[in-house]
Amino acid sequence: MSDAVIGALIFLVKFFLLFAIISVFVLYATWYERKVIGHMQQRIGPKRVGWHGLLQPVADMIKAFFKEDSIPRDADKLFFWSAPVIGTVFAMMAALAIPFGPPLVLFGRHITLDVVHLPSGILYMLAMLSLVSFGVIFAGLSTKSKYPIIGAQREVAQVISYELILATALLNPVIMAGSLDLTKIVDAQSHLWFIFYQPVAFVCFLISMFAVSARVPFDLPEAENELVAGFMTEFTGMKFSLFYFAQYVVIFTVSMLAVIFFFGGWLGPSFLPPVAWLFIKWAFFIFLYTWSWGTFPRYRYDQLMNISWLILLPIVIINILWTGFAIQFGLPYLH
Amino acid sequence: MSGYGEVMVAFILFSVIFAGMVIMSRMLAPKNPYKEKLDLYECGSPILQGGYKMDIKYYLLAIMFTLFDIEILFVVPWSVYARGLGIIGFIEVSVFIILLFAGYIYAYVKGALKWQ
Repeated sequence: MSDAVIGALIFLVKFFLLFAIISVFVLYATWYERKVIGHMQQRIGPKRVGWHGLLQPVADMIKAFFKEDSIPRDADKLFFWSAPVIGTVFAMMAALAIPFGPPLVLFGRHITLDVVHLPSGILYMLAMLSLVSFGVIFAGLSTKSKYPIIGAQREVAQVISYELILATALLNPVIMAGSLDLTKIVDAQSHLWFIFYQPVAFVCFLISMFAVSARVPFDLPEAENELVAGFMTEFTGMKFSLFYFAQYVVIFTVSMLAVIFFFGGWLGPSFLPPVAWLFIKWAFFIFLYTWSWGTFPRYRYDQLMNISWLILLPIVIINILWTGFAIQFGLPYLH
Repeated sequence: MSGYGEVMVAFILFSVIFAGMVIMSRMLAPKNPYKEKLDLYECGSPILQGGYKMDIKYYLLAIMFTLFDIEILFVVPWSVYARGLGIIGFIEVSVFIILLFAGYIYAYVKGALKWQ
C-alpha cells in the first residue's frame, strides 16, 4: 500500500475512534449527571433500566429516534432542519484538534493522537467553538416563536462575550509556551503546570468555560422556568437531542482545553499511561460542571453581562500585559 | 492529506452523519400532524405578528465584541514570539492595548456596557 493510503486509513481510524469516544461520553454524561444530581438532592436518580439505570441513556437514544418530528407551520423549513446539524457538526469539528497524548511511533510511523494536527490548533478550536452559536441563532430565528428568539439572542450575546474572555485567558499560557500548537503547550509544562504561574487566567477561564457551554450558574439561554428551554422550545425528537449532543461536546472540548492549558495535559507520574492522566484530570472538570449544577442559583442577565465586560475583561487584559512584562524581565518565578 | 484537507474531509463526514441521523429519525418516527400540534408554543401571551424586534443593546454588544476580538487577533502573533521580540515588542503591544483600553473607557463612560 502506498503512503497516502495508509495515511488516509489512519485518519479514518482516528476519526471514528474520536466519534465513538464522544458518543459514549455524551450518552453516559446524561446518566452520570442525573445520578449525581439525584444523590445531591437526596434522591436516587435513574434506577429502573438496567443495573442502577446504566441502560437509561440507550433507552433515551432509542426513544429520540422514534419520537415524532414536528415542524411548526410558520417555521422556516430549511433553517429549522439545518440548525441542529450545524450546531453539532461545528462542536464536533472543534473536538478534532484535541491531542489525547504525546505522539506515538508505531511501525516506524509518526502518529499524532489528535485527529487533525494543526500548527495553530488553539486558534482553530476557538474558531469552531464560535461557529456553534450559528446553530443556536438559526434555531431561534427560524421558528418565529417568541421564547426561542429571546433565548437565541441571549445565548449568542452571552457566548460571544465570554468567548472573548476565554480566548484572552488562553493567551497567557500561549505567551509562556511560545506556541499555538497544543502538543507544544503541554510539553512546555513539563517542569510545572501553568496553573501555578497563571492562577488569575485560570479563574477567568473557568468562569467563561461555564458561560460558553451555557451551564448553571450561567444557563440563562435555557432558563427552564422563564424561557421554557429557550431556543429549543419548538424542537422535538432527534433534533432536540442533537442540541443536547452539541452542548455536551462543547463541555467535553472546553474541559479538555482547561486540562491541556493549565493542568499539564497528559503529564503525570509514569505508573499510568499519559492518556489515563489526561482523562483523570478531565473527569475532575466534568464533575465540576455537575457540582455547580447542584449547588449554584442562576445569575441575572445584567449581572452576567457585567461580570464579563466590567470585571473579567479588564482583569484578563491587564494579566496579559503582566505576563508579557514578567517574560521580558525574567522574573524569578518564570523559567 | 495535510491538516486542513483532513478538516474538510471531517466536515463532510460529520455533516453526512448528523444529517443522516435527523433523516433516519424522520423516516422511523410516526407522523400525525394536526392543526393544534403545528401551532407555535404560546403559553398565555400572543404569538409574534410579523417580524421580531431585537434590543439595540445586542447591536452595540456585537460591535464591542468585534472590536475586542480583532484586538485579541492582533495580540496573538506577538504572544507567540513574546520572548524573541524583547522589550521593544512588549512596549509596542502595551501601547496598542492601552490605546484600546482608552476606547473601552470611552464606551463605559458613554454607557455602552450598561445592562438594565
